[in-house]
Amino acid sequence: MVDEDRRLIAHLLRRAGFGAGPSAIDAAAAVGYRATVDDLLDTERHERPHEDLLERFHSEHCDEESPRWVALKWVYRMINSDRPLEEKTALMWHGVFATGWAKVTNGQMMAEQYEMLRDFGLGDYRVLLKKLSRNPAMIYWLDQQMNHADAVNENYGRELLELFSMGRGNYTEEDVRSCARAFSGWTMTHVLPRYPTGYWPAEFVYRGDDHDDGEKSFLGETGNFNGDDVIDIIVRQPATGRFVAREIYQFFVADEIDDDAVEQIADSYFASGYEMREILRFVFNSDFFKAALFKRVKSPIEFIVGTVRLTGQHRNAHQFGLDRLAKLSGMMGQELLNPPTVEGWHTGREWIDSAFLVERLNFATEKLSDADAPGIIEIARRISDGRSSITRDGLLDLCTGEFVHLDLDVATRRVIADELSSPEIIQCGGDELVAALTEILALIGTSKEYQLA
Amino acid sequence: MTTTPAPESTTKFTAATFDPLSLYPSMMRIGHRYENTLGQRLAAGGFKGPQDVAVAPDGWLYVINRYSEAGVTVARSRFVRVRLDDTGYEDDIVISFSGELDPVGAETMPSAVMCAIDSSGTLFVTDEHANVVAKFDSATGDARGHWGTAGDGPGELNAPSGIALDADENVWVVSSLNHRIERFTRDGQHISGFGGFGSDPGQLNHPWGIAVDPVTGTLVVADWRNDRVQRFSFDGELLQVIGRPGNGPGEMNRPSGVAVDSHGDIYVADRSNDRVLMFNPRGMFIESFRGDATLNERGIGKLMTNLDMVRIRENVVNLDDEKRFRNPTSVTIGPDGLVLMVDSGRYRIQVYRKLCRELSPEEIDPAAIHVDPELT
Repeated sequence: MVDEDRRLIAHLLRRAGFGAGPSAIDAAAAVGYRATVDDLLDTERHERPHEDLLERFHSEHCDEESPRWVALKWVYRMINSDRPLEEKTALMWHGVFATGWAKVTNGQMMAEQYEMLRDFGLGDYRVLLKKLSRNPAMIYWLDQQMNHADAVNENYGRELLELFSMGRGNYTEEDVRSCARAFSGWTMTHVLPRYPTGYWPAEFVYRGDDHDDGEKSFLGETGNFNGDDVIDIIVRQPATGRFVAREIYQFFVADEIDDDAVEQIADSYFASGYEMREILRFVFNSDFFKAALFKRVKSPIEFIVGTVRLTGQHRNAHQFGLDRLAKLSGMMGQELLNPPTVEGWHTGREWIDSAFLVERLNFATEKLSDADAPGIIEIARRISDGRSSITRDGLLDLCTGEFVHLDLDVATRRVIADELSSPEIIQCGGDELVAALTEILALIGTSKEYQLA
Repeated sequence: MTTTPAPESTTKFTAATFDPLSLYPSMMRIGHRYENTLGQRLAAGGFKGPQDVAVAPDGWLYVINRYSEAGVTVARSRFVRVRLDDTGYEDDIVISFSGELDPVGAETMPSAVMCAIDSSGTLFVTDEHANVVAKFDSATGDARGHWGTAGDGPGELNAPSGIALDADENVWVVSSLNHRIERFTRDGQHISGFGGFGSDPGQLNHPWGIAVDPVTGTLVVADWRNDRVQRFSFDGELLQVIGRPGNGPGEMNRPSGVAVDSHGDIYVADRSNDRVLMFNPRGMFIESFRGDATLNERGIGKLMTNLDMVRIRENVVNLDDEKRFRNPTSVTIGPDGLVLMVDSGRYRIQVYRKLCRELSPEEIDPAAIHVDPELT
């Protein structure tokens, strides 16, 4: 029987982070659920990982021009950061404010955007939108540099309302035009051309002489609005509260929307003054969150990082192969820093198709059957502690309950049990246990339940 | 691991006899002149993530390129041979893809770090993930075997990085994750070693580059994560600590490569400060280099293939940044006073020439030798 507290904490660490091995769950269980929530949210208490070793020992990828390097660094941070919620929230916003390298084609600008989402993603949503509107990657992605006082380009203004804040049906075409006019003159410096020295970053520039300072009517208000004024109006809209609440619900709670829970989150949005940290504190302590175990399909990067955190790999910066993890995420349908469109990725069951599933299963099998992985060695040690032997069924229960924290349904459990080739009674403390353990874990990794968070 | 008896030491100094103030340069210092830029970034060929360069007896330069190419699923290092004046160029001259000749059994050296060439033209290359030192004939590019045993014991390699040859043509290798320096014969027989992790004087924290000072016969090591350079005797005695953490004059932020010229002047690739520093043999900070790169014919040719880029350049307010170093990783002393600074992050090598006038013994003022540097 799984300890309910550990089970709930494992759920919290999967959602607010990228999953955890048994030692981390022990530590969280020792302080309790609510204190763990507070600790996850109090990011400033923890240092970010040092990355000088990463740059040194991955210099074959350390090309600032390349999005692969940015993605590699992000994957390393997801695996190793003591501020997992910061990375997780950045991942959520990356899906919402989806900006793709395919058009931006500048690794440094993409890195700046992702780090901005990480740095401000847990703060005031209003500030986040203002930062986003000044972000060179976003400016280029949605053609803001072509939005002039005398030639309005509506691209950013429209997407800000439709995809980044309120959602379709909550504004008029005139609002879109006013929004775009308010952002005219919000542009970026010219970057040095790519050749012959590679890409260079850009900076936000406000050109007053190219800004339409005339009167605008926007969402029922009238004034000589600029971009910041427009954002101040947007964040006050009920539709914005519901939009943010839906995004949070689908990313942190469940794939299937629960309208009542969304309303509660929207209330928290306004009550907190748009503070993401407080909204998430409400969500993680809510009953609907605690009841939502395994209600989400893991996104590819969640699947990969969660598995690697379980196996304890890539904890030191010089382990080879980090680049492959980022690449595999792309092969499973989620290429970091390069979402398919400005709408971001389609999530939930759409993460799973026959090609993506094969990649997932192969990856999980490879990682979870690695007898040399530190996390596997730790699990074997914990099983051997105080035991001289264990039954095969007992080992399967222990793995699903104590270490992977899954609810296997009866049919899945039977299929796994039928596949096992290890002896009925397994001797602990040696190769026999490790062989049986890796066989079980690899099969668990291929189960449908393991695809869920 | 077989350990051979150490040959008679060629070290001229020990901790007891080394006095940095006695090291007075045998030249009058004039300065450095920027000469030219090698490489440039190209879509195909050219440099991409150059890490280190070595000068072969026939005048060719060997450049290790470390960045993966787009579409290459297995990391591999590329080796480019280029003439000092950039008039000659050959790609992948060293690594053959025969598999059998390959030093790591795969089709590539995944992670070459640094290189050195001996007087006969044998190129020695470290690979930090394969934990080997590989040898190549620099004239033909043919593999000449490899050596190295992975591990954390004396003489074993754990992420080898810097490599240098001494006057006896023994090979000094930085075993960076062991925080040690190891000496081998050219064939990989272990002779001696020293080091250990820590931040106290004489201890090392992930050292990277190494150079042999031809004047004093001592070792100069880039003590990367301690943000300093340390000088050791061949027996591992600490002789001198140069630099401290920071970004001010003479301070360092993750120094990677080091080189010592024929006058004993020390060049340090101050990698994370995006500059190269120069110290005199006494360890006094003399000069820093921020980069003066110019477009060479390759760069101009590439630009001219895309006139949009030419137009964009005209709209850029400040082209000054284009000259500057980005993560310079190593420095190599070339012939005739040339100093080759590997500008890794900008995919090029910036070449400077040291300008000085040699002094005769009569022209060196003995009274100046023991002047306290603090008072000068």
